[in-house]
Amino acid sequence: MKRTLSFILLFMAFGLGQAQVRIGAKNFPESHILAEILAQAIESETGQTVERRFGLGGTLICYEALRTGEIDMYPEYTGTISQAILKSDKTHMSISELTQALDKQELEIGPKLGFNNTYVIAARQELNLKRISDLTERIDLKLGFSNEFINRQDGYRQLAEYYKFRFEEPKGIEHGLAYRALELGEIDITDAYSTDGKLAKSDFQLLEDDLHFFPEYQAVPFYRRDLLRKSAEVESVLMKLDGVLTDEAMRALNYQYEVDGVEPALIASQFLSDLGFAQNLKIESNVNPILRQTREHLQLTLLATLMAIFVSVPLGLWINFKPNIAGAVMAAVSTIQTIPSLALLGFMIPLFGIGFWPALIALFLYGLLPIVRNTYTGLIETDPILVEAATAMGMSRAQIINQLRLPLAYPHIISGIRTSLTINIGTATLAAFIGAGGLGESIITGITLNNHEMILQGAIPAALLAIFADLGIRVIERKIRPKTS
Amino acid sequence: MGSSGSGKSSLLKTINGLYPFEGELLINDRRLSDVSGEEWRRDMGFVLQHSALFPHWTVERNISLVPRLKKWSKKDISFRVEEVLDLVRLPYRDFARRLPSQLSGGQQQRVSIGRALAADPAVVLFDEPFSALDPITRKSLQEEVLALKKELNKTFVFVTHDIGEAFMLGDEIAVMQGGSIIQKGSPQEIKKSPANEYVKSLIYEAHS
Repeated sequence: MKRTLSFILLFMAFGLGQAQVRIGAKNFPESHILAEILAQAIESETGQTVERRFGLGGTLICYEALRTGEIDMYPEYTGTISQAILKSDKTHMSISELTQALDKQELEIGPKLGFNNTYVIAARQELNLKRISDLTERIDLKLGFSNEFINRQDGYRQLAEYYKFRFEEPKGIEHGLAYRALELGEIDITDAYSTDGKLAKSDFQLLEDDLHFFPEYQAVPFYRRDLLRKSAEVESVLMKLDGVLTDEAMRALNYQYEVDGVEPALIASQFLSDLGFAQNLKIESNVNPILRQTREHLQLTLLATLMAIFVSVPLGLWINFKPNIAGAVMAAVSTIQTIPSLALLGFMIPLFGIGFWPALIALFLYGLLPIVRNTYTGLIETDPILVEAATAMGMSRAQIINQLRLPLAYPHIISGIRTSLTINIGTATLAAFIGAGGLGESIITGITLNNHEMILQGAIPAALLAIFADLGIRVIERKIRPKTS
Repeated sequence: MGSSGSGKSSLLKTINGLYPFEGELLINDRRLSDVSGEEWRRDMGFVLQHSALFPHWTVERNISLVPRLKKWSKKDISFRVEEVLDLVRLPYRDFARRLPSQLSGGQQQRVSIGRALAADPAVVLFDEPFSALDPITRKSLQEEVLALKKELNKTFVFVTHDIGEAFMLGDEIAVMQGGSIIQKGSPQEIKKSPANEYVKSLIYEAHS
């Protein structure tokens, strides 16, 4: 037991090495590519190692990560900063206004990278729509907007108000799936980004924003002020990237990634070398990420389950002596399990930031119920005649627990641990949304890119882990099951 | 002895120190109130209606339960286990390593008696130990108890609802009804002069 534990701790420590600069990216291709460009430019110019925390689930998670110092920088858009982060009433804020507004939070934005990735509304060609105001009189169209677009300040609601739409509430759709749905005619219009590589060669109609609703979304490096204190050279690197990406250039990079399937690291490296950056780039993500992701996945789930065991077994034992609160404890741990996993991970962000720890705590909480329940019922189901005999022989309550009730409850407890671990291996695939890595990274990126191979690259090892964990624990179960026949 | 609900099991558990009561309980000048309940019970054997052996323990481990609780030395314990298995006629070589589930009902009850005798208590309590056994097994175990009673100088307190069993095993019988003892005496005395109609009907039943 001790050896297993130290092995696991060693395993955990491995890969928690400190990088000097941590760069984040949202879970869509352009953000990946931009973050990779920023990372490689810094690596090339300063020689520092950059830790990549890609695939973070949306603006608020990235912003929270930046604010709490989980990451030092990530690529953001001016419109997103003014609307979604600063919640400004203005439709347009200049760079100097943004800089001023962010000053208090010790956050800064670097020089514009050069392109404006604004929202566009894409419609099926056959519908013969040209401008967004053409939608005003329509009520017969099937809307399919991304959840972020529906919910953000400058998103669907204001657009609908501005253009006086008469549609019913739109349904949310995963952005990665929207084009496919549009092609199949399952939806008629969706939101898109103007630099979306797929738009270049698709025959969707991009509707003209004729009443000028959408604010500017200039891409900028968004970073913590203390990054410049940590590494003054970063500022000059950012100056070098000032205005290097036009709309067309960005769309071409996106096209390479989304359609040709080139790794963001390679796209970034090619792009930077064309710009004249030194070629000594270490391309980390060119290495197959499955091993790293599997390691992260195991770290998360094993540690979370271990913690759950250390809390749940004593808890299950304790409520056995306190029948009047047993119900309340069971209700509490059951309630945790009814929280959708993504929501639970979301709750962790304001409390613990992003990354490994909040994911660990969420998984730990998830793992409690099966173990507490099985410990409790396993103990309570001990044959009362045996307890009576043990008492009559002069065994103390503690001795009855240790020598009789616990050993007889082991199979229940172990199968609770088995359930907990297998559930956690599945749930941990969502941890990538909050930057904890794991096999979910491949799955989420795969969904983002509509790349089935990549989804399977994450999903198959995750399924295998769950199966092996299940089998492994069954073997242990058989070994330590008290022999009664 | 008494029918169900007469209070005989409660009396046994009271002797075992499990129920609160008024008055005093002494065994060989030792007062229940002077020791902890657990200490009291460890100095007393108890054979339950069901053998109630711990299913995850071998016969040897089950029998050594009370000596272990009393922190006997390993050597004394293993010596005693062999002795006790001999007493209840289960050869050590064949039975010590078995699990309860690998024993017949009668063998299980023998182990249970062995467990009660293991720490050599002055008093052994039996709570209708044979009522769940078939008649033939019951007969042989009754003879066993009788032999043990003669061989070991111990007080057996044996609860039964079977008057025949009481007459067969008892030196002194207390007949209980509705929570109190209505007659006490040797089998002969009770047979000769039953205290009331109920006792009379019991004797009639025993001879029918």
